[in-house]
Amino acid sequence: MRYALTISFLFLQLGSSWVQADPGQTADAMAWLQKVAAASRRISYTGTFVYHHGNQVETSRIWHFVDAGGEHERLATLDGPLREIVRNNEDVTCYLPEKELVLIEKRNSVGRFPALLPPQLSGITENYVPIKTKRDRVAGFSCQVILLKPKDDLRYGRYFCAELATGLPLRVRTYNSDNEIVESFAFTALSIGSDISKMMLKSHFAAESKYWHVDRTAFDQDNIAGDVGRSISQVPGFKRLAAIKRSLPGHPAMSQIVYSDGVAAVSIFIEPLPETLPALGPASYGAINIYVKPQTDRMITVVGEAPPSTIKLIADSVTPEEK
Amino acid sequence: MDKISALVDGELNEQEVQFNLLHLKQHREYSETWALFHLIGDVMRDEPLLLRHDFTSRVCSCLDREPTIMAPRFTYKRVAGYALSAASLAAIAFVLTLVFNTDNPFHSNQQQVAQVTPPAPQPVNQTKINEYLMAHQEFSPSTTMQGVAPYVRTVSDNQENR
Repeated sequence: MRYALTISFLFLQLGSSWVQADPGQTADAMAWLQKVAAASRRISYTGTFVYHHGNQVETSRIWHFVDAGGEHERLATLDGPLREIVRNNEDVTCYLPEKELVLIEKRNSVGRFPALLPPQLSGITENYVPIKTKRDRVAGFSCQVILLKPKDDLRYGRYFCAELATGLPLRVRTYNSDNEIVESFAFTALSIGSDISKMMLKSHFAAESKYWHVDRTAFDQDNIAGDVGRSISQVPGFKRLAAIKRSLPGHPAMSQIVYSDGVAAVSIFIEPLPETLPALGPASYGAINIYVKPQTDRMITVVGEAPPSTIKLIADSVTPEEK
Repeated sequence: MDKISALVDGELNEQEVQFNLLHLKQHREYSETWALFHLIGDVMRDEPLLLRHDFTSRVCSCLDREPTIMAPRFTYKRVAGYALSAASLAAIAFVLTLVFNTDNPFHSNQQQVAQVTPPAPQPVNQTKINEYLMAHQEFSPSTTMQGVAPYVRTVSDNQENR
């Protein structure tokens, strides 16, 4: 409690004084963020983490293994029925036994998307003030607190506590402009560099899911979305990261245009207007906000880790192209 | 690990057996170790291996395909057991609620804000939005920073209650 109060106090303080951020401090905080980004790709670990959003709390177990073949991960929920996510580099599979459903996201080419590599961090200082604050302790490990204070109300604030030796993010929080925590991830138990057998990375449902329904989403990173039939005006601080053609189960081919400010990403999905419309308007899930709206013959779905007002602003920046 | 060994050898008391059996049901590694220990035992005792290695999974998948017959046999003792475990779960839930509420310095503040702000975004039908979440997630810098953890949103247990 005292700890959380300190953080909120820091954010309040910074509200008036961020302009005076010391450049040396900024460089130091940025170096830590680079370390965090690298750790997630280089360090093998296994642990238990708590995901907290709104009034909901959920605990999951995670196994993360790195070898010459890249990153291999499995996440299994510990509360309620077992649900799993298995990730091998860019390919992600979700197992939802209650719905007897397997969700597979597959990329039709090799290699990590270039824009996701650390250079993306370059946009950060334009939109956020990175601050290295104090040290803390999470899951028995000492960690360094790094804050990203947004320069305007279009973004959420971020908090990272990075393990001192490896940079592994042990606690990650997202704050809104009222300094409320919108979402948080925190390890409660962790073992770094542990031996993980391939068996631990295999889904519990590998066999039985053969009888389940499979939904596939896919895209080809070289299949650039050309004319999306819409013009999108620039939202401050958000730069275009990608524009691709993609498939989603039960939907016709659509375009996905991704914008990022270095920390948050927002996707705009543009697809032909379906016969039965889904729930329209705003929706939220943790730090993710969603806005759905029909526009002439298209449906626009905006999804991203930004405040509801920003998501709405981005949805409204999409307009029919003038012929 | 030694608990499994003790369980295989029948060296645990009734309470420990109950606890470990529950654990077996919930954790695949645990149940695989259980099977492995039996296999080791069989080999050491030089007993013929009558069952194929995938016997359990094949029986389970056969059971899954069987129609469920709803005829529970309730005994007083069993009901008491359920009530007891429900009570302890409720206690844990209560403590958790306390912990997380006291940890939230914005709690009272949040309620004040709620009275003046316009209606908050509504949670959507998660099944429909899941695909979009997954499609978006891969491009999000949070995936670079945190790996698979943010994907937990797509399998959240609370999706349909919200």
